[in-house]
Amino acid sequence: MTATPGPERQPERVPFGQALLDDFFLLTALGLLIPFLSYLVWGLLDLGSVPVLPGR
Amino acid sequence: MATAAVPYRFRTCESTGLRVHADAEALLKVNAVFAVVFLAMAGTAALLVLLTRWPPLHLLDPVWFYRLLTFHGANALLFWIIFFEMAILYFAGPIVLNSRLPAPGLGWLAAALMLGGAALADVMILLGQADVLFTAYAPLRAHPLFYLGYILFAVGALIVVGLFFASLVVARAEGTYQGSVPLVTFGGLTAAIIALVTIFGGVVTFVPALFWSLGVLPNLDPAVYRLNFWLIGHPSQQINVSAMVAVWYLLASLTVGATAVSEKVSRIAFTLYILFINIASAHHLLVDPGLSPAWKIWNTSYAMHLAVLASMIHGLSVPAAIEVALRRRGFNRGLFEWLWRAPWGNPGFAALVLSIIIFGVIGGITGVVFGTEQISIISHNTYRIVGHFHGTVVGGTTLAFMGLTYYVIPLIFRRQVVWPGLARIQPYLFGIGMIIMTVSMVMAGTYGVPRRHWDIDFSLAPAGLKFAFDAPAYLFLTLTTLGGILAVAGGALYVLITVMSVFAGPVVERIPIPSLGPVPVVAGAQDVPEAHGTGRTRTAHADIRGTLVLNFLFLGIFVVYYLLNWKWLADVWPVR
Amino acid sequence: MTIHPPERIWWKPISGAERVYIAAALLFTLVTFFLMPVWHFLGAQNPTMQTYRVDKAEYLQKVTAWADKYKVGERAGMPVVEPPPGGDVYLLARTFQWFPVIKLKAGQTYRVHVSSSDLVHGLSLQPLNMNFMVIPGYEYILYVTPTQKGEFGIVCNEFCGLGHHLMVGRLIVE
Repeated sequence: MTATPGPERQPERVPFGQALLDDFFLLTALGLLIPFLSYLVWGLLDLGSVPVLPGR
Repeated sequence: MATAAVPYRFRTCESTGLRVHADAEALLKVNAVFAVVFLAMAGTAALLVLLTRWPPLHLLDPVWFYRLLTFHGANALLFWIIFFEMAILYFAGPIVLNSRLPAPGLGWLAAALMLGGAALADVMILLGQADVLFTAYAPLRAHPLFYLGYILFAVGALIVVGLFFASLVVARAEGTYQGSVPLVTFGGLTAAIIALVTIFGGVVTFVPALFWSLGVLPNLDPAVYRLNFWLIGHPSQQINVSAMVAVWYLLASLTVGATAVSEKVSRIAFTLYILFINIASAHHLLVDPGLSPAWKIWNTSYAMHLAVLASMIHGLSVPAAIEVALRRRGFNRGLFEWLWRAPWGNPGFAALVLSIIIFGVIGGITGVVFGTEQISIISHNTYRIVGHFHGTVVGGTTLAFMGLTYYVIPLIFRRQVVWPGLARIQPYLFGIGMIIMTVSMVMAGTYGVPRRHWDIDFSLAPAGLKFAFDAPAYLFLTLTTLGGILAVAGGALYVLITVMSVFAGPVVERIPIPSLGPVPVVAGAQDVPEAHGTGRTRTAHADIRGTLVLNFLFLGIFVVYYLLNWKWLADVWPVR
Repeated sequence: MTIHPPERIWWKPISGAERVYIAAALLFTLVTFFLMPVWHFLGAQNPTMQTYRVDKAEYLQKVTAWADKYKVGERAGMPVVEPPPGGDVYLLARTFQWFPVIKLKAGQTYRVHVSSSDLVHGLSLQPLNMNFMVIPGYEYILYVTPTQKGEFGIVCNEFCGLGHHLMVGRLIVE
């Protein structure tokens, strides 16, 4: 590693996109949060706001 | 520093070069064996159910039909497939990362919980204490022990998922790999995250159901139950999708030495699964009351169909990887020489390709079409849906797992696959049977045939109300039965070959894996591949013309079937 | 190989060939998404429904009262009910029956109320193959316009017990 010339003499910074996809805790958090909010919470709000039939 | 204290037992795989932790491997074996046992039971029930839904035969009485349908659903959709996925996680985590499995004792506990839970649920079903079908929609009520069985199974799976995450942390900390995790591990991670969503859904569904069944909770809102159930019901199938795609990449490597054409593209596609695939559980609720069109449209679409795009990307990337690998071996003439000259006699390869085709063309297209909010009106609860998910889960995932088994047997169990002639035809028997069956199911459903129904002749219904389906419905039910019988035969063959090989196959120490040998440099090849390691290809020069043609063909079929369904919808009565 | 770690930097430009297909696929997936809200404005078939919470016993009463009021005959032991054109229609799902038999006029838009007095059922109008869920405790209203004349079957396509396959009803359009 010491004396080899070549394109990777200075280690390139890992691109931001790659760093994001390497972060498995971030992916896990988003993977849990998005369905929880978009599917479950929103769905429960919809069902919870079904009105009682007006008048008799 | 870390390794001196406790002697972890490892062996080095002579075929792949991976460092295999003995405990991880033992747990992989146990879960794989349990998986095949539950598949055999699910398949037996499948045959009986199939022969009952065929009007001329009408084998079982209503009670046993609905009971074995419940049994089939639970054992196929949950037990067989999740046990196999646990085995995949043990592979994709510690083994692929050359690392140890932390706390293997928990893995054994998990296996016991899963086995115990599955057995408990199955016993309750067969005793007639859970004639509710695997969805168990409240107010249909089963015995408390049925719900407990499901809960124990889920807890066991949760432990294994936790061990997978733990092994990722340990591998990173102990430096057993450099840089990013391999693609198969990333696919496993996708499956594991989705499994967490699934298990969470299981908790919010079955814990209240258990207390309601015990009489502690006075009632259970049926609409809320359905919303909750599908947070376990469909995500469990998305674990299947992610695991299947990970297995596609794995099999592509094992069969033809393929490597991803673009890691970036494949990983972005997995990430879209992680973010958006689970919200599409909404497609079960599109013709339900109470949920708003906005909720239905946004969620059923997997967020503007981004997760659908992800599947279409994998449908490009996996064949592309195979094409590049085969072209590098010299099969470079024209658009498709690589395809004709591919190793079709290798059951792992045959299963891989059939799985991609069936999942994409049959399962995927019908899934997106029937999951369109309005098109659900002409699909929901008909046999169209049953055709769709047998395309994805059986023709797709199960077949891919069968293909992988032909490598698990020599690589993990260290046995040779017995009866190679029969093994060669097994994926074709199963795959072709599945194609006939699933297409026929979709057609029967297009003529209105309901799912989960004992008698479409309504022979026991009051005269004056009897209704007759059009003749094509019966033709398609006959074809369904035919295709199903072929598939069951293929499944039985798989179980037989697997069991015989594991217990009586000749011992084998290594098998050839294509890219681990020196790859010949072929005149006209665009780049020189390395003999070992990551198999770098510069994507700018990768020739994937054949794959492109096939994918555009697929897109064309998709567009046609999609538009046809809108036309069929427009032909029914106005409704809103 | 897919079981080996990738190159150190794998976040690299995507090849032209892949881009072409991904762009085409993305276009298709966006079109298929936007067609859904668009059809709510341009199309005639949408599962919109107006939903209300209702007590199961109360719904049963409403249906029976309405059936008594507009009864014009009998079939298979159930009343045949013909409401005023363009009026309210009440359909009840219960194990194992669709109550009552309904007679409508083609070309009229009716307010069809649907609910169940016991379990979850599946409303499947055949041979049109129009399908909706029916959930106890929830009454929903579908605005339906029959455009064909004839006798139509109502099949239950959600498992509701061991007599599920006995559940078949009738809709007559004149």
